[in-house]
Amino acid sequence: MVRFILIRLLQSVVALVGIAVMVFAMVRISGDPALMLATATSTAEDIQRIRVNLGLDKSIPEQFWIFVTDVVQGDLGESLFKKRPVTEMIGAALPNSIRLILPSWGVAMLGALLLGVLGATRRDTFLDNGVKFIAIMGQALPGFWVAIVSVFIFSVTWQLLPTSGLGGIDHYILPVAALAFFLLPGMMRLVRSSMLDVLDSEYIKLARIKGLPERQIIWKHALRNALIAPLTVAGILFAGLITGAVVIETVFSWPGIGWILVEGVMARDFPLVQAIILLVAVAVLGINLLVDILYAYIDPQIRLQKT
Amino acid sequence: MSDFGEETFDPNNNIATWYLFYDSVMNWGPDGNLVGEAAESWTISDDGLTWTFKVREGMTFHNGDPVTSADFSYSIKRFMAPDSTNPWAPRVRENYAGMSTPDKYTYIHKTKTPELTLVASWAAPLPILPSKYIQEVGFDYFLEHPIGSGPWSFVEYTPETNIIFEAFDDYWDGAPYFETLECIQVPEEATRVAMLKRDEIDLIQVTMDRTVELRDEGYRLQELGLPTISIYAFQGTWMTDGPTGDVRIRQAMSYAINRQEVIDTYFHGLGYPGCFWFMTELTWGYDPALDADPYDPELARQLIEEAGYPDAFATPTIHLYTPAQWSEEMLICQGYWEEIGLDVEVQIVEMGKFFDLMFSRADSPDAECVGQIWSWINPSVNQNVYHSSNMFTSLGVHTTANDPEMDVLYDQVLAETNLERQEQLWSEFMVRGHGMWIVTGMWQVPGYWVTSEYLGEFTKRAYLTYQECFDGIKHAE
Repeated sequence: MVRFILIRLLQSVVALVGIAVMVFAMVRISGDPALMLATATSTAEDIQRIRVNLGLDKSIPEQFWIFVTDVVQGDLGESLFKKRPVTEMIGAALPNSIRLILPSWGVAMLGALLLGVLGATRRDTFLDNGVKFIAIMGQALPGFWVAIVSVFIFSVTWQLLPTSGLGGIDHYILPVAALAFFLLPGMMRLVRSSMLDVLDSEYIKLARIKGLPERQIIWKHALRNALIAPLTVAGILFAGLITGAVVIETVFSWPGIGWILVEGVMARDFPLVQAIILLVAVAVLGINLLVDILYAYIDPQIRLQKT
Repeated sequence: MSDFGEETFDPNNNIATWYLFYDSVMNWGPDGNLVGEAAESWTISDDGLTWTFKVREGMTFHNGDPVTSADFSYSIKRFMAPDSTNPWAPRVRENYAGMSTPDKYTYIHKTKTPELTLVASWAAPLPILPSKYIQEVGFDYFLEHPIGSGPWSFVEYTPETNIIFEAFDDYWDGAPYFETLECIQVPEEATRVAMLKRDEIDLIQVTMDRTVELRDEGYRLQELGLPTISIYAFQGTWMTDGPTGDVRIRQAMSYAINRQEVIDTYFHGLGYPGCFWFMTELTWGYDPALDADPYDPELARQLIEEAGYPDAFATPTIHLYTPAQWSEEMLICQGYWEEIGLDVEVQIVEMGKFFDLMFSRADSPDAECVGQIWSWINPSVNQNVYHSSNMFTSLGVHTTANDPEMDVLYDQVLAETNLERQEQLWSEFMVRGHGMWIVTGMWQVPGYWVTSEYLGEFTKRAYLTYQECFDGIKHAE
């Protein structure tokens, strides 16, 4: 198991280095940020001075070396536009993102598990059709539309909940529900189909012949095996939400990572974009590593395979 | 606000919050005239090289310290420091010859050459900082706990969320009517509307369609700030043998646009035809010769026929690029141009690409921007001298003009030491620029904000920027 983890860790480090090089190159291909900082009164000399101040007059290898040495020392630079240290910006935005993602993800995963199992065990019944209807609704309705409509119904018309912003528990209800509604259907379908596969397998039939209670068969024996694929997707979904919750963050004025990443991309804010992408890469690699370890825990055959 | 922009209280960078808790050296009055702010008055020597500012006596910072000439010298030194990224800093820095403070309330500033148009920098604004407080606590602490002499004192700031201020009761121009001001960042327009309807917020700005909807629902509209102007400009006209190289085509394009129709329909009647490069009737040096061109499609057709369009041009298609947010207005124009027989292709580009092309000082006909048109929709300004150096002189970064006469005229304007004569020269400069047809103004739209029922009359500086009016907002009766 230790060897398995070490190899996975090494692979993650190699992937991270590759991502760093790629991000550094790609943000520069997008153009000259000095022009985004220029104003209608800027002369050619002013624009050149901006380049010098930002270190953009240096050669690309020099810029890369500065970037790498700074990152190693934990210095992710200063946002070109917000004029704040990037670490400070991420430090403020990341907890906000987590505060939104964690309950949404939890609600969605729990809901998907329950509804997916319910759909699979009550196949083609009224309940199963209801589950499928929710799945179609969740996948067909755009997230921003659901969010805006929910604000107008629950906040403006019924005056039950605040429209947006950070705050007490009531501020969480709409954004969490909207994000969970977006996450739930895909996962629910996956759980349902995995469960259907497992429920059709020989060992489940044997368990039934042996007379094990149906509840035990479903929740103890079937679900555990049916969870392998959903577990992987759940991990990827969580990591993706760090930047992927931008629509919900925007509608609910939730100052998370997704929103500042979009701002950074629009403004060619190199340090900010580089730092967030690196952060997300670390999160994805970390979560993948965790999922791999969980895999190996759930299914011992995996850790014995050649990695 | 949809975004706070730069999130620092360093006046060398931040623009959005300057107006709330700092005072500028001077500011613009309601008629485009200059009025004193931290400087109660000022004089300029006959040779135009010495500016003497009289500091407003009795004015204090939020901690009670008096505003003195030492604060002026500290603030101006910092403003023009080599690492200052303030867009107005280079103007002051490059023409600086010295400063002195003969007494507590007199600040003297010397320039190398006469440049009366520097008033644009003094009123940019150029905020006066509390030098004594900064020396005591250090600049980093000051950035976390900023104080100024403006109508609002700083209370709390949560990045990307909100900024809270409280009224400064000893403000020299009278305390604000409201006790607290909270500026909230709300990127999504629908959310801003929901917040207004939920009584969570009192003043919002939204797109024109939403503005009209809210007005029709009974919300009051308040005009704030200078109008937004819509123009388009031609690049490298002297380097291209395409249609935009011919002044008749450029002229015809302007006559083809029915500005009033666009105002009446697209802007729901909330605008006015005509504007020029960073210029409206409120801008210093405006001349009636810059008024909107008439809608005359017959004359437009005649002009393009005289130019031999399309047969006289190897590639008759005219290219225009615009960022997505301004594309609708350009697509409307495309329709008018089509009606007179011009083939104009509108290319929607990402903002970064837009800036790459617009700020490219091309020196060869092969440059990507040469022969292209770009759109620009931006607030107008009180004085557009430095903006216009980029548009009309041969050294401008936009590659729009190559007229040595304009260079000479521009230098004459800057060197003029008589204010009245200078304004006259500036009008002549702009009128000549207008005749080159390298930039065409379309319409101007006032900045309409939607207010809640709790806000009353806006009594101060609503003609400047939205931030500058907050202290003058009365409670609703």
